Amino acid sequence: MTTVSSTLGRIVDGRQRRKSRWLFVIAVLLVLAAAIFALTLVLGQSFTPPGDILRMLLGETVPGTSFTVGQLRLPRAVLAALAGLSFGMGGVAFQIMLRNPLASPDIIGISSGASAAAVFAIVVLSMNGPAVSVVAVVAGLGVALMVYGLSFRNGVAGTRLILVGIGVSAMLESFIAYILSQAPAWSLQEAMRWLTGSLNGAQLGQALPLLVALALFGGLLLHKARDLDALRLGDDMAAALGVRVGQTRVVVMIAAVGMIASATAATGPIAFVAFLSGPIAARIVGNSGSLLLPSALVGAVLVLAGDYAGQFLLPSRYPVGVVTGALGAPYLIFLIIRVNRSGGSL
Amino acid sequence: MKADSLPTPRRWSAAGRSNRNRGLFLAGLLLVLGLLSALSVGVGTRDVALADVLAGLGGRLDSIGQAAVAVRIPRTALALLAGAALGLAGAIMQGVTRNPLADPGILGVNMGASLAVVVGVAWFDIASAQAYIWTAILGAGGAAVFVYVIGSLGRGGATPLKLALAGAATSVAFSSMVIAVVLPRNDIAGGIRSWQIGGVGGATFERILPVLPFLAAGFAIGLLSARKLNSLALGDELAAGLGERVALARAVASLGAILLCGATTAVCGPIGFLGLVVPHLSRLLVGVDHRWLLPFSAIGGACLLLAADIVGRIVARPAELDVGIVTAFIGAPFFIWIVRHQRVREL
Amino acid sequence: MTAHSLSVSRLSAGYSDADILQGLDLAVPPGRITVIVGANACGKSTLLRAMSRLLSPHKGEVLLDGKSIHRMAPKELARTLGLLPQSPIAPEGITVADLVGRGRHPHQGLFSRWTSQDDEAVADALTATRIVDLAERPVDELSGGQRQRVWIAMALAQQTDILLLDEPTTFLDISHQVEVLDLLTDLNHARGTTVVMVLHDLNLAARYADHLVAMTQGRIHVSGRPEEVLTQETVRQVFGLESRIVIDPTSGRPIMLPIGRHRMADNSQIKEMQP
Repeated sequence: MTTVSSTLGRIVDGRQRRKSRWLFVIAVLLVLAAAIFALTLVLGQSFTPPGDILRMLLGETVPGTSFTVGQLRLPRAVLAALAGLSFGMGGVAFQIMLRNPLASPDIIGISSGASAAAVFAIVVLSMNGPAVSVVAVVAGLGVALMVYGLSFRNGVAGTRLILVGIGVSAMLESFIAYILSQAPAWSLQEAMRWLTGSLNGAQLGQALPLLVALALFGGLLLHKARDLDALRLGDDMAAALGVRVGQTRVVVMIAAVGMIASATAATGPIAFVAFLSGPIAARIVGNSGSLLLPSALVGAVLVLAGDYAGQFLLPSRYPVGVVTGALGAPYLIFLIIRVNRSGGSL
Repeated sequence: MKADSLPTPRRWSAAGRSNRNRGLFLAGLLLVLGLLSALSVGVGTRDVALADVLAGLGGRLDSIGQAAVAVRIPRTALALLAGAALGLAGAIMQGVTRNPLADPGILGVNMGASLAVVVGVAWFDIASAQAYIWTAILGAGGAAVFVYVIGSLGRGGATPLKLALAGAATSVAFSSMVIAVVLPRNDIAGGIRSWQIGGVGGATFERILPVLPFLAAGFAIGLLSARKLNSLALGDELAAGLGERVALARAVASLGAILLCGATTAVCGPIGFLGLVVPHLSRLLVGVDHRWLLPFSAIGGACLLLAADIVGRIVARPAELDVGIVTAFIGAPFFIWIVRHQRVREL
Repeated sequence: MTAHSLSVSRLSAGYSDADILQGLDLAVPPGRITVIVGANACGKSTLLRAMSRLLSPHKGEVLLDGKSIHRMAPKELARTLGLLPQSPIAPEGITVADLVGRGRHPHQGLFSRWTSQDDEAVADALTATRIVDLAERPVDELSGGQRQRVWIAMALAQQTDILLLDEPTTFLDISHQVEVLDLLTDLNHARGTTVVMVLHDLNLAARYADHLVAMTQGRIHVSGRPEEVLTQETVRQVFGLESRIVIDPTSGRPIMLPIGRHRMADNSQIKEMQP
């Protein structure tokens, strides 16, 4: 029958159009991230010829370049990219799972939990380095479980979880404020630097645990991508399609928190990257495919660009968290307006 | 949604309190307030003998104890005023918005005042107490209007959920703006950070005096709008049907709340959750009639802030916990409790 | 198409600890349309949720071809039994074809790609629900009636032999209610799909059901052919309402006319009104 076959043709066309759009977006974001990454390496306070950088990367010792690029710029760029990927993917996983852009880890208290633990570790326990990271990850998971548990009443309503998260986050913030008010000057500096989310003093050594966490948890999330996407139709509908809703939620939550907390431990809570990446990615991608990868790439672009702007493009030097924070605040308000007006999701 | 699953209004347990009972509660609460005030003067990181307290109250500064008492008197006065202001402001906001989650902190009003003050200090070099207060009130008012407008967009008007989310989001956004403004300014960072936690320590009568007219105006407007709030509680349509000018009533009552919040924030910094907790507790005692609820919330707020301040002085000896931290630790769990007990449909 | 059997045996289920369903038995006739009716809060939706695994029973079982559905793998079940919940959510901006394609989820493995079979299922579902022309439109822009057809199309793309629907006609005006029920009847006739749905409107239920189930207080009060079920006694016992049952001249099915306390006409007036 001609009608059926033409219908089929339209459907195949539509699907392929969506797929090529998705691939195109991924490609553009990859190029963009790579471009800023390269810019960070090449152009800082001074210009370094790309040839020198290439030679250095191939193992040669190039005077000057080995220090400015090898010790300063490269670790910084690598860490920015990895943290951005983690924040972007972990954040959007939460937003999809709870069907609400406000359900991002930086609003429902998970980042505050990791921050509070890290500040406590730095100021009170005088810890530093990887130990702080471990504490932050564990605390992030703990807070996530607590928020989830507190909002459980015949199932978890996304909005209830957000409000509970806001409450928990308020407590944690005032705990942080208290610790800071008691902190001796030297650890206050360290704690404040950490709290605003900064890539100053980034070292390649920090990148490895982050890379491992990204590979492990990111892989887990991508593995669950299709089930996660089904959750956007509502829990009941997803279940009717054969998704194990509870199990998917637990896995997604552990993976997303793991990523977010690892990144937070490495760079501090870079404000709003987890929150912003998903909606921005949704804007670009439309409904052409999974948001996990596009959002991760948007996160990387945001952190790389924010850090570069904070270092070189603004009148005084700002840590990246301040740049993304100032950028994110108006967007957050814009998003609230849009969500309230349409009652819509991501 | 089926008709039977629509949210039914929360029933407050004190529907029909007799005025005699309310009078007894009022007397009891005033007694508690007196006791707490006495404690607040007598208790602190340093214990002071009763004789010194009395001498200090008489204005003598001979011993350390008496000096401590002299410091604690303005502090106690400020805690009383700020607590009453925030408690009343919270009750007004819950009435105006018909929203159990309304609170100057949650709705972003305190943060608006903070942001305005921070911007004023950092960019416009404001320094005088008057300038502080006006800036804070302006910021509080701006934030309140802003959050309410955002929260009432779309279907269903200003539902508890939308309003709370709009407020919370605005708070988060403002606080990140505060960081962006303060961070490059090392000269003001320390002062602002301690102001931002919210506290009544270091109060002097010189600092309290300039806000008194604002507070007085706020109290007067607030307490006088009790009847209007009672009509508003029935819903806009019904209130209009009863001959109330809804928009005007709302604007006037809100003005009272904004004066109270702005002035309080100017002196103490943002103190959260007090305005949430106190009206709920007061409602349990005296019911939903705003003519009772408002004064009760004011007195209750004073009690709670005093108590929080005293606790803050005791638990962390020899250091002190700022009262803003204590109220957050009492208030946030309360907030979560309310959220948990709201019907799912509403949230 | 082989007819699967779905039955419920001594089922107790509910939220938290309270049992809303209390030891309920039900056999769904294969290849027919079963409609569940009852007063509010009688457990209709709870029953449907338990039958589709959204709710775990406290006691008893839901059996699909003699196997407990709670012991089946979720995707395996979802290939035989589909459910359209009361308020599914359409992600913002999603197109009709994309949304209908989500119904293919249970047929796709972890690594298996989208196949031509999936495309065919979607095309088929769009054709059957007559929304081919809407295929590339965003779901947000559609009217309530169109949207409901999209959701039904999605359930069709799932290609299950049994389809459960929780109040598929709520929010629709009367013409669209009839349209949706006609559509479901088409599917039942053309494909032999077993349809089980909860409906609010007694008269529409009686018109479209092959098998009518009246519930009250977590139990099945009576079930059978609509003529047997929709009687004055049933309406009185299930809904607490006095009524008169007449026969619909169009469908030959019973119609319930409520009797209130007012507006009682005497017979002479009624005769005058008749043409």
